Amino acid sequence: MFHWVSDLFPDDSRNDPSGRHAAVGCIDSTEIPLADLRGGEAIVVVIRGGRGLGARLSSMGIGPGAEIHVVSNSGRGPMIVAILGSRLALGRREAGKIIVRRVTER
Amino acid sequence: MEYRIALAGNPNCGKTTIFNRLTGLRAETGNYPGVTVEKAEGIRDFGHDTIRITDLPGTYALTSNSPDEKVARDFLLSEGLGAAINVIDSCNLERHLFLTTQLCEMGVPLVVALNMADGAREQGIAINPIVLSQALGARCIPTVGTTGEGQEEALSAAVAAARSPRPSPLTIDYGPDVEREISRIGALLHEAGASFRGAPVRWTALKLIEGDEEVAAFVRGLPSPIAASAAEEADRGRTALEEAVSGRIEVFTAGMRYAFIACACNSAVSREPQQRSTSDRLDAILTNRYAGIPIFLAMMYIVFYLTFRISDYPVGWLDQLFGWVAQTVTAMWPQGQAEVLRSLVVNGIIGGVGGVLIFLPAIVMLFLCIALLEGSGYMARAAYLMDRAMRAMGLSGKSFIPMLVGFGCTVPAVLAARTIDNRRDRFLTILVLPLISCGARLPVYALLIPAFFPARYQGPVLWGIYVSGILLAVALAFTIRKAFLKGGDQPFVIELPPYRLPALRSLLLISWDRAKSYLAKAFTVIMAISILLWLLGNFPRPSPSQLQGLAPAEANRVAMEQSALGRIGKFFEPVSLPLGFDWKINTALIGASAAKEVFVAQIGVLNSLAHSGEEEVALRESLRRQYPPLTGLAILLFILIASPCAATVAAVRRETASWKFAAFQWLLLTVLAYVVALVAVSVGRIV
Repeated sequence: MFHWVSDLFPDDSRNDPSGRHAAVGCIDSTEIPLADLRGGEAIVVVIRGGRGLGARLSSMGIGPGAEIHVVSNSGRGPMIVAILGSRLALGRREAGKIIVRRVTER
Repeated sequence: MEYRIALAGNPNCGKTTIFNRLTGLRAETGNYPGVTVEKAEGIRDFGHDTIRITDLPGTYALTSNSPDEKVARDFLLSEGLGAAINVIDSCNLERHLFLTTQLCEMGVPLVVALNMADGAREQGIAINPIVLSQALGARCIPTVGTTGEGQEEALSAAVAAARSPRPSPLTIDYGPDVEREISRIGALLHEAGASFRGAPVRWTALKLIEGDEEVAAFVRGLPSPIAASAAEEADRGRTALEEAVSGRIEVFTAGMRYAFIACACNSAVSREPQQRSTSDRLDAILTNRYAGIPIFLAMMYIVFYLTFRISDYPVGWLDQLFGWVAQTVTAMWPQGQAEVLRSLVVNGIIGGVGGVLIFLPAIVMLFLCIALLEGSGYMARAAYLMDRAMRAMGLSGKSFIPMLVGFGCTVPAVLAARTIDNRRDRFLTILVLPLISCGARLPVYALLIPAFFPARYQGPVLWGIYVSGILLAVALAFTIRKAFLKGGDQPFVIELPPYRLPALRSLLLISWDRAKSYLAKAFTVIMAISILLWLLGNFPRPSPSQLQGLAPAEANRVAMEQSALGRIGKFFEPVSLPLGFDWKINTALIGASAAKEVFVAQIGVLNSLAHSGEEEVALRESLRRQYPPLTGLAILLFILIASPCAATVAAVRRETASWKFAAFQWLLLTVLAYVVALVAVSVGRIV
């Protein structure tokens, strides 16, 4: 009955269902979501999720093969990483969609 | 001859500082910079010619994913553009060059300003501009925004680029698979004669393959069937490519761009090993998981303290000034002549407009603080700290900045909400922004709180009002989100720029710009409304027979009641009496729905007109005598919540491009105000 209310708020989210199952190889045990990394360096393997996130992250330099350094991660809420010499704050959900391979421990 | 030059770059590259230096006070910004989303334009003389400089929104890329990027891209591809100056943070070269590669691929005549060259020198980063120029195909010039170093050179180079024929666009090798697709689609586009705003064919083909919505829509919309098939082929090609590279195509192409950049920088840049920078050390404290938020709250407290306490003195002086002006005009006015006009000028105009202007120092101070927080880079940390809390409320981390700006004035806050890419989040933020108690309400609080509450309660009541506003905003956002808007959050990716001390000049320009718009609002909207209300309040006049035998005070009261305003107020009395509002409060609130500050002017006008026979009775006294404190509380709540002012409604309508939304917001808030005030009064009566 109240659908006119939600119609007042246009929906931009790029939730294309195909995106969720984007071509991803099998993940082996050395590959974990960035969100799980408490510190140290990692290499980005793949980015899951919709088009919007992929474009955004890759324009900031986060793409397959990129070296990423975890500055702080409290395990809850957003985390801070360093890439290409600049610092980014990433939401937990976004960080969960970035699959990385650990390089060094802190 | 006039040249049009655009300034493009990532956020936080110092672009705006350069813009300010180049154009100074000859710039016309979109009224509300600070979250530089609006296009800003300025003029600069150059020998016999003039240059029209446009400061584009800071963007990380030029896709069609966000309104900022679309605006920037459209402008860069527009007909009249002479050249662009791409401003780059030399300390963060690789990431900033991402945008540069896109500009070069688009074939925009380009000059690259390697800004913050002083910082780069300090950090031991040496960039060879000539080698870099060769790799990019665009002239590179080191600049320092804060001192102006290299600026003239960059400007001359831009003009030279504008005068020269268009450069050939940069070609980046995307690997055999993608390149094959580009050739294929490119051939089709060439045959169809399809050109997206004059951009190179190769670029258009690449965008189609990447799935750029705007370009795809454009190509599909072309009459030629070949163009349509180009779009189809591009879609098919993309699917095949994404299989081949096991991932999204734009991620892949971004990777190839960065590979190109790495190669270019390899030969052009040398770095000394780095120490842990000051920024990092500061961040360790400021974003610390325990200390971060308390420090942030302390910062906010300091901002408010500065704004309201320190500006107390100038506010007091202005108050006295306006009082003096009113008295002088009254004294100088020839006796007994055009009494009506005198009343209009003194009570209507000076009273109305003056009431707004005396708060200018507080507003300027607030904007100055916000500009400082923004320019220093702390705002980004604030958004990071607040993200979790904001998400829990149904808003996004980036909602935080507009809400903070809302404490100064709702109108720039609505504009600041542009940084929120996702329209759903943005609209929701805009919906609840008026609940953040803005500066315009201060005059009302300053009048009502001391009138109805004893000294020891005054501070807490003011605090309570502010907090109520925030709580209501949160509750409303949460409710609407959960009830009507499911799913689809925007990605939270925020850059934390290195801490900087912003140029004082920039800060002052920004604050002055905002102050100007506040003043403009005062003189236009509020003056018009003051006059209109004065008219409504004085006409129609009662006939002499009705006034016969009445004492002056009584006569004035009757006159008031008979006026149009009084009648409207009375019309609403049945509805408002449960709140304790009589017709006078109603009429003042009607005025306030146009602009909050008008409430003070209006209730003053109402009461002084009604009591004009007596000596200057302080308005507060008169209010205290007429109404109980509970009514005062109800008025406060109503002012806080109800009907956003006319300027806000106009801004909301502009930002959402929807009259329906603005109307919905207006109605929703007014009804909410009524309900909350009613609840408060009812509870108060029981207690």
